[in-house]
Amino acid sequence: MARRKNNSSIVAIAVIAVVLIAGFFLYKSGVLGSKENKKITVYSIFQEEDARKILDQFKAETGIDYDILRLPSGEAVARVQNEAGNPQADFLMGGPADSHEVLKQAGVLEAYISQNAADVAANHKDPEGYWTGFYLNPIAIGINEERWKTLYGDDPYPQTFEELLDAKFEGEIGMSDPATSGTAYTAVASLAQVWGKDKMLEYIDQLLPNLKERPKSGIEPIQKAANGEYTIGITFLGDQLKIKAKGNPIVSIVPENAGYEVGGLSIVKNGPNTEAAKKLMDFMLTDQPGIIYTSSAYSVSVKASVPIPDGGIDIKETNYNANYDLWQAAADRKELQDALKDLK
Amino acid sequence: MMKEKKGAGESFKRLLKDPSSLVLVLTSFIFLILFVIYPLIVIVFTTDGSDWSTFFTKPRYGTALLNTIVSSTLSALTATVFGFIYAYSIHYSNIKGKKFFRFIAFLPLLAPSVMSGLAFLLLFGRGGFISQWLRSNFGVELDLYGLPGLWIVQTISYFPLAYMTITSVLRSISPNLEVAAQNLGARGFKLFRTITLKLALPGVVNAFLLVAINCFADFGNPKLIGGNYSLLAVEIYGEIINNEPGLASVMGIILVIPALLVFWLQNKVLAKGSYSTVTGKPVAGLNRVTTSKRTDWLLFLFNSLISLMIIAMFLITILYAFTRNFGRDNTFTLDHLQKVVFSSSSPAVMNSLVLSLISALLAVGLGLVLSYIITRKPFPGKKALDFSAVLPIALPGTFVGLALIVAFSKGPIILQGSAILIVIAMLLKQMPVSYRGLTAAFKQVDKSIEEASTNLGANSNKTLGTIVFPMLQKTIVANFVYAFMKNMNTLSTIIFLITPKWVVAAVSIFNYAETGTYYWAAAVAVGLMGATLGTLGIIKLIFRDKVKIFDF
Amino acid sequence: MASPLLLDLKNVNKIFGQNHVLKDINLQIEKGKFITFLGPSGCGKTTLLRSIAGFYTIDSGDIFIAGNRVNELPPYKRGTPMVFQEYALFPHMTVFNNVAYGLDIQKRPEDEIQERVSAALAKVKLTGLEERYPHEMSGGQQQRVAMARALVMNSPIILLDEPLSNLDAKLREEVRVELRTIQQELGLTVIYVTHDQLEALSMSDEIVVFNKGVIDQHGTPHEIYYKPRTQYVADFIGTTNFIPVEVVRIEGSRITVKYGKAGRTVTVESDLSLKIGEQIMLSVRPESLRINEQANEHDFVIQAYVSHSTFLGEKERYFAVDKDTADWVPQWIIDAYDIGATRYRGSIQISAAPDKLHLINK
Repeated sequence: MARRKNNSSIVAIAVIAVVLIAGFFLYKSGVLGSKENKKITVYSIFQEEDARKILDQFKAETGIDYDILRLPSGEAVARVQNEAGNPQADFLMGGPADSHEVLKQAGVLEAYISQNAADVAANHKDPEGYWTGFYLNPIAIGINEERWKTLYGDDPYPQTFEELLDAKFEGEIGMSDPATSGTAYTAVASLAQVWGKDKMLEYIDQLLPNLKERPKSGIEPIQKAANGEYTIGITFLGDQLKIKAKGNPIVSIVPENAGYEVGGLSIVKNGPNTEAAKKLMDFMLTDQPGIIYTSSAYSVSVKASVPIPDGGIDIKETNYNANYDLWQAAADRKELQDALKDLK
Repeated sequence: MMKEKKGAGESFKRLLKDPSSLVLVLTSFIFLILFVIYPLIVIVFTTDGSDWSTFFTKPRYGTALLNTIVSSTLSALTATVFGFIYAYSIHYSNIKGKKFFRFIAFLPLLAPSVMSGLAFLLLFGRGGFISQWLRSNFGVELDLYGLPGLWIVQTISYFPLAYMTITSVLRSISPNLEVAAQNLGARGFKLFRTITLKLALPGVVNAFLLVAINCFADFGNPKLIGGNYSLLAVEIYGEIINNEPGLASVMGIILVIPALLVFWLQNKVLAKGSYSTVTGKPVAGLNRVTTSKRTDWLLFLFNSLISLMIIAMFLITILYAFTRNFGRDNTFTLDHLQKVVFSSSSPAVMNSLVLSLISALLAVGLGLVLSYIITRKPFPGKKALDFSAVLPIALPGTFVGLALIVAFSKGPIILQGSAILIVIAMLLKQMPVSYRGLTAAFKQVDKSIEEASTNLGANSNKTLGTIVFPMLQKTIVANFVYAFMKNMNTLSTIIFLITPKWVVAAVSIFNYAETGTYYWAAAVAVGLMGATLGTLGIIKLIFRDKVKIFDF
Repeated sequence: MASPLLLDLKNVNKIFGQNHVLKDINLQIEKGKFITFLGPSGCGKTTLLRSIAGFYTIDSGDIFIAGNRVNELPPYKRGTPMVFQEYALFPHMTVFNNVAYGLDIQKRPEDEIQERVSAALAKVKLTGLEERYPHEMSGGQQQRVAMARALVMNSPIILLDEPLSNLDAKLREEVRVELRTIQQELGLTVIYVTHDQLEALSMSDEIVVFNKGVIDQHGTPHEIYYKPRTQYVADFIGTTNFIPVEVVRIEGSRITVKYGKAGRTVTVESDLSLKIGEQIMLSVRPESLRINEQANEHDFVIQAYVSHSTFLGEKERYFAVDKDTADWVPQWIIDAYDIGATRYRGSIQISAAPDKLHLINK
């Protein structure tokens, strides 16, 4: 009489499953698949939507696929530094230049001067090629018009940072945490450069009670202000204009002494696919990505050949801090951030 | 006077004669020492005096600790109460729609707890659907950020856990006891208070403790909704990002202490035993129902409200996932799903699936090996092995992730940046559960069956493979399914371990929710739930009757 | 010429904690014999069986199976297939696969397995039930499967641990006979553990009686029954009457002893080495005693009062008080068979022929 092995079907399925899973695993680790088209790994400080638009274009033109992890700039800086012994990413997309400076000083970036960087202004890129600027963005005060009307009626909008200390704004302002966010750090660094460190600390100390929250990501304050969760969001201008374009009732003001960020790009040293990273850098500095990004981020490209987007603002027509020294800001970063932490 | 041949030396000698068992024992030891003991030691040694003084002097951290305790206690309380009422209504009342309610209680298990946070934002955030409606129609300003929002979200998130724990206790109470009490004149609330509640108490306490531990370690929801209400798990994350492992470790240790306390309490409560099943089987045909019509009505109302909230949660997520920009642009679109679920540049859901499956397989495998050798084989150090195997249950997920990243990003073994750590982290959380479940199942297998196997010539491995494993099939599959589902939804444990190649769906949801890209968060959530359901469906097809899924 | 020893136990000791369960066990068992380990629970018989199978490691002494010292061998290398008390059938396997299990482990060719399993199942009369699962069978059938599983291994020695205790009385009797038949047909050496003396008497070639970790006697059923070495053995097997006696004359193997107030003597055949004046016990079985029958001067005679009696179907069991001691505790048990309606009451005379008597050291 024949015997049944009643576990055979389950064993068969288990074997198939194991083979499939192992295959997927190997594929991911890059063992299978040609080296040519190995993926590029990107840490993006840009909003993921924007980054993906650009990278999809890159993929369409070069065939190189990507893995992306979106991080706030503070986290991205920390990660790249922590991973120095075994870098996970190839390319750092976005993030204020002072963050890139910090990384340069830490020796974790790869210098590469792309031919497409020739027309980028000298104070918008690293002379040694460790990072290249991509866009410009001043700090701005973003106001939810409707909410302002409800709470403050016809009061005039604040034009300076000091005006934000007014008690009527208690719980109505959102600003990301200057101890960790690149965005807010730019604001305070600029103030420190203009007023001096102590006055800046004093100012922030007084500002804190008016803050509803300190989200870790730079764009959140304006998103939440737009949603009506509070009235004022302090972020970069580009973020605010973007939210406005979505139909939100936002009014933006570039206050006196506003610092600006140069959004930068850099290549991580010893990344898994540096060759692709260089190609990406070349690509980023052509006009197309600049157009894609600035149209959705409403910032200004560093390249003159990229027009100011519809609905954008020309920075030169505002009272921003034209003398903002981002290298100084980078140098002061640790000291200032530590001092800020003490305020909590 | 003769002495029995026993002791460490003797059992070790015996082990040497049984090479297949020896391999199993050694593997277990190596694994647990490497991934449980070693990271714990590293954590302790990463801290130094300055870190400790920083923690105790800067008020920000003390506040975080206090907040964590307060919010966890509150959430655990409400979750337990809700879970109890819900479970009571299912087992003790005459309400209609019990199948439906059981199904509802199961739903939140499909999604990471952070999805509750997301749904909460979508509904009750200041720009949320319901808040907007309230504002425009009633001029009511809804601000639920911080403690209130967190309380609500954690209650809903962990209510199913409380419900399941309590339900199994209620089920095991012999109806005879209540019938006897009724026979002696007790009814209504008095009956409930003196008999039912008393008997269910250990289970209720257990549920409370379980939820409390989970709330402690919760990372996603506090980060999304906490606002300025700082919590320990979030602070730990911040310090890791700031490259301060020492300080993070200090907080991790502080986080663990209440968890260990709870764990110890839990063991004490369980040791007291469930006095719910002392005597015999329920008499057939006896009706357990003890509630009045009015109570039934109230219970039904309560359940419906809870169900409504849970359904709303899922509904809003689905709406956001399938419309361009829900609220402003309600056109149906599959674009979001294509971009973040089905694109090769967004393998988050696929990653989750693969890693969860691998880790669940390993969890069950390791749990099986451990339960086999600890239940059946004598060897020195057994107690220590058992302790290390169960210890991770007591450790909050955040702490486990922390320990792994701290231990393996420097030092002799570097695993940072690889998927291995993610798999291990998930493994550490689920293996103890499998181990416990399988040990219980083992104890039910008569020893003589295994003896018969060795008697007929099979060594330990053969016995394990041909006899034990098949007999435990049902339990193994059940544990695998459970581990798989939990792995798919884990966030706090692996948040530190994410690498760009291996972004996991739960983290994706969290990231998108945090940056306000709600439709992508919703899309990934839908993708994740779909993947989970799909896998469960396949498992059900393969194993048919041998596994209990979708039994409502 | 002695048949070769299959099992040789030398000075075997086993201790559990404070409990010295097996004390210096020495035992030799020949090939082809049906041996029963007999004793109450806790006497060590199961411990010894399991030690032979390898489930326990002995603390001192040696175990030789077919001339090989097996102390260090783990259970799966001992080649001692066992039938468990609870049968221990693998619930997830068919009858066929259960029985074939040991052969599968040995990786025997498929047709050999086919043949041997069929043969084993035929031996236990379960042909046709190969595809059933254990839970689909009765207790008796399960027991046979367990047997077949052990038999199929073609091992010279088979161990059985109280395999019939879960069966009802009628079934037990049937299986007993079958078991014995199979053993004799196949020439197997069987070690059978039981606390049921009837089983032991009816099935065994030799019985080993255990008393608190020590072997009190190892002999044939006849020897155990009619010539018990100790009071314990005598009392454990069947029922016995004891009376203290004193040795008064020794003539080779013929011992004359004195008993009772009146000092009557009787001469009994015994191989005990005794001294004049020694106090020993005389034992006589209830069925060997006669009531109110003509006794001659060589017989053993006691005067007694009937205390009460119990009707047991085939016999009437009388409980009587010795007139000599007369403390009204009935110590005498007499079984009267086939005496029709006669009922004895009041004073009786109990007698027994000398060849029905047996002497035991105190």
